[in-house]
Amino acid sequence: MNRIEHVVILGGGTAGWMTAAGLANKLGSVVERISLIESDTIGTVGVGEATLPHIRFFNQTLGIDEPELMAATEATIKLGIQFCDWRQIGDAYIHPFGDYGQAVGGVDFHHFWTRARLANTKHRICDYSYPIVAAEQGKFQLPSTDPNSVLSTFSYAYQFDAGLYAKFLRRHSEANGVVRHEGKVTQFDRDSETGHVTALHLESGETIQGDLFIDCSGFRGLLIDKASSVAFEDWSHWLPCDRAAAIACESDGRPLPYTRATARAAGWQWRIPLQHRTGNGYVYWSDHISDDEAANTLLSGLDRPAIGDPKLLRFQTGRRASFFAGNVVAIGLSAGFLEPLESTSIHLIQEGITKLIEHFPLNVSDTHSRSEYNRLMSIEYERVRDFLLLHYVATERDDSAFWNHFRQLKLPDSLSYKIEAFRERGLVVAYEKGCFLPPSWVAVFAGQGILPTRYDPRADRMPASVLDSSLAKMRQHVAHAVEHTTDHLAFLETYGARSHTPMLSGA
Amino acid sequence: MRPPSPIASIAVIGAGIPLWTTAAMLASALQSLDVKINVLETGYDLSHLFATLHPLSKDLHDCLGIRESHMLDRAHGAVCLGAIVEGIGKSNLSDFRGYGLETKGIGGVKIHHFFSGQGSLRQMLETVNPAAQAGRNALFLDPNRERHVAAHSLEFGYVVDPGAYCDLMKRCAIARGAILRDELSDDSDLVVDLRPAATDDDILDWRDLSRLVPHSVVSSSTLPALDHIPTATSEHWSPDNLKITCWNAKGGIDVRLSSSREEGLSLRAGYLRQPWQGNTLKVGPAASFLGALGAQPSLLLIEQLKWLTRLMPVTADCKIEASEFNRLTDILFSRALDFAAILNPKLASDELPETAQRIIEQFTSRGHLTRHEGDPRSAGEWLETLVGRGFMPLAVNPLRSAIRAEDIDVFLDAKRSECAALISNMTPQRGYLDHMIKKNRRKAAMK
Repeated sequence: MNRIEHVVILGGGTAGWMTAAGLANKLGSVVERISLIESDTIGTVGVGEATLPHIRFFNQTLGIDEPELMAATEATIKLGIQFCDWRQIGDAYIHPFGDYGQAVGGVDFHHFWTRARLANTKHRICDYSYPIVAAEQGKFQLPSTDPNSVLSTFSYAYQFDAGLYAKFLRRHSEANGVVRHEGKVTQFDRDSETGHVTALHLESGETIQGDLFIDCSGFRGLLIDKASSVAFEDWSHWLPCDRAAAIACESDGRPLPYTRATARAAGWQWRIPLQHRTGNGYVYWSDHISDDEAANTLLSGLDRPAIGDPKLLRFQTGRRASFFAGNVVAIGLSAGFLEPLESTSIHLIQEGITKLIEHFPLNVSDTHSRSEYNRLMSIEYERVRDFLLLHYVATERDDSAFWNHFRQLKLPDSLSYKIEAFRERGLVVAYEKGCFLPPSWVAVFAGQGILPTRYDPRADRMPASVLDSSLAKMRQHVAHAVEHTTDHLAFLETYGARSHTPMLSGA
Repeated sequence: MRPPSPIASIAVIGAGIPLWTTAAMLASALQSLDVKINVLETGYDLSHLFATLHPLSKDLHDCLGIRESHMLDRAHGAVCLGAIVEGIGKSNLSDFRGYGLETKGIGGVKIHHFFSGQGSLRQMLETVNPAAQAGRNALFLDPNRERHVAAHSLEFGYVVDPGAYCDLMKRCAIARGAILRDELSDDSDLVVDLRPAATDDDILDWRDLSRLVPHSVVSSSTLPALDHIPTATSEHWSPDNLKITCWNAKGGIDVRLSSSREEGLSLRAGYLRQPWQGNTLKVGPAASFLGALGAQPSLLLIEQLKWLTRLMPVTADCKIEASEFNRLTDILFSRALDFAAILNPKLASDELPETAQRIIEQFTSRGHLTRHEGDPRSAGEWLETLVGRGFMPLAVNPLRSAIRAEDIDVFLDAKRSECAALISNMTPQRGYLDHMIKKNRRKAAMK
């Protein structure tokens, strides 16, 4: 059997360089060579600028110094995502990276909150979440390792320049032996018997042979689509947004530690504050708005002057029927695209890399690794899909054809069931696999008006007066902890994560 | 429309350990709420199948506020680190299968990949497995050095005297408000049924798995006490029979399972697809029989009770609670079936459920331990099960080649030394039990 000696990554950008860095770190002495082909003339999409907390573990595994990375990528802290106008125009809530309150006697906190709510106590569930209150006040400090502290109940991610992150990882990867080849791929060779890709030919005439090929070529899926002919499973009947207009605007110098996603008439608009600028974009469904109108809506919704002109992206939501076919593994946009509403693009890249390392094939014919990789990645994509779709369907908006579309949508059974279980009984249907844990589901359910009509009867074991005082105490703990938390910008400064590049200007 | 009225009474029907454990859990979960737990003792008592307690029973005891020393004293319990298995696998060697083998290695590579080419994998694993060494030699922690439990991940369950443990659970249930009735009225809002369904040939909705889990006849006998109490059960396979012998502080229990259906209590392997229908839910022996190995009956009962308390309905209209309970139970039983079917030496791989086939394929092709959703068994349990059953990896994780041989040696030496140090601090388990009993009685006297 042919051992895998040479891994070839096609495409730079976030997916390509994350893959290169991850593989070089774990497989540097397992395979003989890791090469990456990219062309300076092909722009990268920069799939996301907001991340999930899991990325910290990826960086830690690579041995990356966090403040150094943050300064180099203009990163700010992200404690969650604020969703504005999703349930109704004028509503807002934050999906935090952390827990609400405290479970008592094996009963999750939201059951106590529901009991209090049904008894007409009007405290937001947000007031029991340290990351939400800290985010609202623009504050941050590192989590505590003391499990008794309210400061141990949250995690954090980054809002960064994905292009700079790719550059940072390029330096890291090249220092770890990854060889970069500049140029565009013009054609590929395949083995006539197995159909496996054997070599890529570059415009320059150079030929790069390999044993395993990682397709990070973006939406085009140069290898997974063209060479391996793996079908694309279209999910646009569930997630119909198909375009995005993106633009940066000036920063006000006080970046907030959270991302914002504001629902619009035909989609939603993101705002991601970095240190030197703010990223913005409008994700929309082209059946309901023209590109010009979308660009105008985007521009009119900016907080500060724009930098440059809007950039238009077209996409289709869905995923490949197989992520690993023959000797080609698709990672990043070539594997699938789920809109960036919950910052899952980079996370799915990370999952792809982690699982590839865990199931790294013994040789090019190793079907067992392939099938396990495909099984696990399919679960990841499906779980994310359900979570994203929840935001669209848990709404009372009826002010546009776009929102009315979702009111009649036939949901995946898995999602219908989750919604019913929470509404009926406050039950969060949990799975072991998938990146969104029960508190994330509670955040979106509660934030978008899916409120339980009943709760765990065990919550009634607590006398009403004790319940009131316990809830008040939890709110006080959060408020007190936030009061003593430093300002976000001050944190960046003292942590050594402050960038020294000048602010970008639209002038 | 009138809103459904809150649940006011729950009927619990069955016998023995499953009945009283369930009653105790419900009474404890609903204590101080206005819900009556009415218990009716009826039907076959399968307590002997529940006398080997899975390590998860520690969580159950915690929930019920039962201290380990109290349980060991009152239920004549003994510690069980696993089972010594004979007659399975591809050789005649005896093999240890426990609950807590630590599979973690270095560099993202699990420990068993480091033994490639070093001899028999099953023997090599035992050199780093304190449970196996203690289990074979009837040893357990020196009571004067109890802190070693915390320092090492020694996972263990218990073997109890069925009657005494049942009595302990009964006292616990009644102390928390459960009421033993001679008969039950028809107005219960919820009925929890624990009567063994596997004895009933006509039961609807039963997924018959007697082809995959063939040992369907159960008989049991009691054995006299031993001076030295083993810390492992013994499982002996022969072509048509399986004999499990376990020892508590008072004596032994022999459970015999056979593929012939001529004697004793006939249990048909399988499970209910929808154990919660309407206001009746079936738990433990009423919902499944998937063999007796690996403390399976205890494990399945405890898992179901955990969900039942979490999904305790508010009113008799409990559709969503039932759906979720059925979904979780179906996953649990599928995983339990994988475990039971893989242990059946008579089955070829392609006769197994697809998930079990994947577990074997992934392990034999590259030593990978596949985890399916909702699997209550640890990676260590799977590793010992697969190796004990005779499945060996044909290749090791390619990441192993990235780790220097010296680093592997240092790692394994450290593991072996850790293991040896722990074993050298162990004594026969009688000492541990005597210590715990004394401790419990001292506490009781102080009260």
